[in-house]
Amino acid sequence: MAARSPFARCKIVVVGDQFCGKTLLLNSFVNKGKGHEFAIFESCVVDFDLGSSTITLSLHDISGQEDYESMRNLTYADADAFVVCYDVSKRETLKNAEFKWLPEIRSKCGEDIPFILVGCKADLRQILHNNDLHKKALDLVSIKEVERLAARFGAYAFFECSAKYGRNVRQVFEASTKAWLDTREDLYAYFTEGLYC
Amino acid sequence: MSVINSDSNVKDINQTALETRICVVSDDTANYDGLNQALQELECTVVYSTNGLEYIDDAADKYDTVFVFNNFEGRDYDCLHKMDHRIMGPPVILKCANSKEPLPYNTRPLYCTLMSQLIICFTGFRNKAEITRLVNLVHHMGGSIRKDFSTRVTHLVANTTNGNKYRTAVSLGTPVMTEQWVHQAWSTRHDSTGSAIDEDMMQYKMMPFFCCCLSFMGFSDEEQKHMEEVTQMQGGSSAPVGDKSCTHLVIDDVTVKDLPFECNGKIHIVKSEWFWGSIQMAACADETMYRFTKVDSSDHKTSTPGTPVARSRKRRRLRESIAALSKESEHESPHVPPRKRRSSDMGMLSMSGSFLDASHTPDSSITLRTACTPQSVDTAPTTPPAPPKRIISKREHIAMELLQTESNYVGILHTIIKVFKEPLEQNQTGGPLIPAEDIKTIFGSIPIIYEVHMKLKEDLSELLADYSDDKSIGEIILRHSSGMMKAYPQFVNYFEMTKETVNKCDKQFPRFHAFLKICQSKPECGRQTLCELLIRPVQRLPSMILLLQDLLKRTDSSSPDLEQVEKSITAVKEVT
Repeated sequence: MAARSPFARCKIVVVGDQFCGKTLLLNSFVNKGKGHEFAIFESCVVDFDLGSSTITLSLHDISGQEDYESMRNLTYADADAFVVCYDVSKRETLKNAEFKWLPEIRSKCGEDIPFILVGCKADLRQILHNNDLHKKALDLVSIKEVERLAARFGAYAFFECSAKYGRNVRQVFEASTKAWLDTREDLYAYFTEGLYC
Repeated sequence: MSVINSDSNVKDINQTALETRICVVSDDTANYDGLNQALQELECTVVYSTNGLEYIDDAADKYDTVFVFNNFEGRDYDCLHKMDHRIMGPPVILKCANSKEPLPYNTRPLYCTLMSQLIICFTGFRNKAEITRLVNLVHHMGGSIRKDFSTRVTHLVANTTNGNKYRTAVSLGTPVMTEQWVHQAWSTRHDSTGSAIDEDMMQYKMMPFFCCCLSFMGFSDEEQKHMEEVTQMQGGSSAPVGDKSCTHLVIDDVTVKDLPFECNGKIHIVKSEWFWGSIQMAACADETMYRFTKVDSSDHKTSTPGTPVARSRKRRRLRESIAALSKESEHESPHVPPRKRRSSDMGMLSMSGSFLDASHTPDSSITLRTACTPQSVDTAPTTPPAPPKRIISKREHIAMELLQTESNYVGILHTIIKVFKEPLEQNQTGGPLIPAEDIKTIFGSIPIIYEVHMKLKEDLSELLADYSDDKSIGEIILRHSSGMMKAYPQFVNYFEMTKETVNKCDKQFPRFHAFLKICQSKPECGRQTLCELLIRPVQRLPSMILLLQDLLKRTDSSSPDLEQVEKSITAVKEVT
C-alpha cells in the first residue's frame, strides 16, 4: 500500500448508478449552481472551509466508468471517503447502492471506509407529489428504506439533496469530510474545533 | 641503520641529478604494516633512522632523501618539515609500490593520496587554527587548495550556507562538503586504495539546512510537523516563531499575506518554495529569490479569504448558515416523510424558498484557489467561439463541452509533460532526482497520448469555429481512434505500476519528494498531485463516451453524422 500524504487532504469519490445525479452534485458543489450546464465533472482539488480550518478536498466522479470496473478501481485507490448516490425517484438505484456500490467500495477500500448515502434529485419528490403522479410516485424511495440501509451498512450520515436548487449540496460534502475526519482521530480534534458551536 | 638495498644503478647524470633515498624515521614507522615489503619493491636506497637528522647533510649533495613518518607530528617531524625536506607517509609508499609508479614529487609533506587531483576551496571558517589544520590535512592527503573560488575547484569545504563562494559552487554544481569530510578522509588515511570522493564519503556533503534554524508560519499543524522532521533530516533545526536562534522564517505564502510582527533584518523571511526548492537541489537555495513579500493591504481586504477580517466575517457567516442548517434539519430532516411535511408549520414551499435565497448560498464558503483546469498552458484559444445573436442548439452545446473538456485535458497532459517530465529529464542541480528508467515508467505513454489529443482538439475547434448541425463530429473522433488505440491500452494497463513507481520514488528520494511539493503548488497543477493528474487519461475516455452518447441523443435521425457518432462511440469503447 502506498504511503499516504500526511496532510489534511481528503479524497472523496462519488459513486452510484448512471444518471442518478453524481455529476450534477459535484458540479453544483464546485461551480456553485452553474453546474447543470455541464455533463462532465473533471476531477479537481478545492479548499473546503470548515470554519475553524480549511480542508483540501480532492474530488472525483466515476461518471462514464459505470461499465468499467477496472477503471473504477484506479479511481478508488487511496480514496478517503465515498458519497454513495441514488436517485430518489428510482428505487432501483437504491437497490444498486445496496448490492453493487457499497459492496464494491468495501471490497476495494476496506470494510471501514467512511461513506454517506445521498438521495439525489430530491426536488423530484416534490414535483411528483404536487402533480399527483401516483404511478411514478410509487417508485419513490422512502426514507425508512434509506434509514434501514444506512444503519445496516454503518453510513456516517444520509441526506437528500437537490443539486438543481443547490439544496443540501454543501452538507453532503461537509458530512463526507467529517466522516473521514472521524476515522482520523489525530486530525479530528484539530479540524472540528468550533464546528459544533 | 643499515643499507638494505644498495644495488642502485649508476647515476645517469643526464636524466636525474640525484638518486632518491628513502629514510624511514623511527621504529614505529619501520613497523608499519607492509612498509618493508613495499620498500623492497620500490628498488630505492633505504635507510633507517631514529630521527632522520643524520641524513640531512648528505641529502644536499648525493641523494634526494625522502623521509617517511608514520606520524605527521612531533619534534622530529616539525624539524624536518621546517627545513623543507621531502616527507611522506607510509600509505604513499605502499600505493606506489602497489601500482608500480614512481614516488610523486612533493614539496609539502604527503601522507597519502586520498585527495590527489582534488582542488579545494574553503569558505566560512573564522577560526585561524581550525582552518590551518584543515589546510594541512588536505595537503597531507594530496589535495591542493585555492584561495578563490573558480570553475577549476573540485570541492568547496564550507562552514556556512551564505556567501558568494557557496552560491557560486551551488550554481556550478560543485560539491559542497563539510569539514567532517576532511576529518573523515584523514581518519581513513591508512587505506592506500581509497579516495576521498568514494561513494560512502558523499554522506559528508553539506546538507541544505546546515546551521540553519527554521521557524514556520501559516502551515497546518500536520504540514508543519512534517516540515520540521524534514528539516532535521536535511541538517537543520527548527524553533518556534520568534525564537532568537531562528535564521529563516518560512511562510506559507498562500495563507499568510502579511507579517503580524516586525522581524529583525538578520532573519531570512522566505516562502515555502524556498524550503522544498532547497531540498530538491540539495543545497540551501538563494534566499533573495524566494523572499516573502507582503501583499498590498489595499487589495487583500477585498480579495483574499486569509485575512483576519475576512475570515471572521466568513466564520460568522458560516456559523449562521450552520445554525440555519440545524434549524432546517429539525424541520426538513429526511427522516420525516414528505407528506407530513406539508402539514407542518414550516411548509415545503417556504423551505425551498429559503434554499433559493441568495443571501444563503450554501456553497459560498468554498474557495477555489486556482482554476481546476489549467487553460493558460495551451497556446490555442480554448474557449469555443460563441457568435452573438445566434441560438446555440443543444447539440452544439454538447460539442462545445466536448471541445472544452478536450482542451482542459490536453492542458493537463501538457502540464504533466512541461512541469514534471521535462524538468526531471533535464540536468538538475545536484544530479538526477530519480533514475531514468523510473521516468520512463511514469511518463512513457504520456507524449503519445498528448499527440493524439492535441490533433483531436485542433480538429474539434476548427469544426466549432464554424459550427452547423450537419457537420460531422463522429468523423473527427473516428479519424483519431486508431491513434488512441495505440496510445491508451499500454497506459491504462500499467497505470497501477506507474502509480507505485511515483510513490516509491516519493518515499525513496527526498529531493523528488521536494520536487513534487513544488510542482503541486504551481498554478497549472491546480494543486493536484502527480498521481491525480496521471489518472486523467484513464478517466478521459469514459467521459468522452458519455458526451458522445449525449451527442447521439441530440443528433437528428436524418443527419449523416448519426451513423458516424454511433461508430465513434463503438470505436472509443473498443479502446477502453
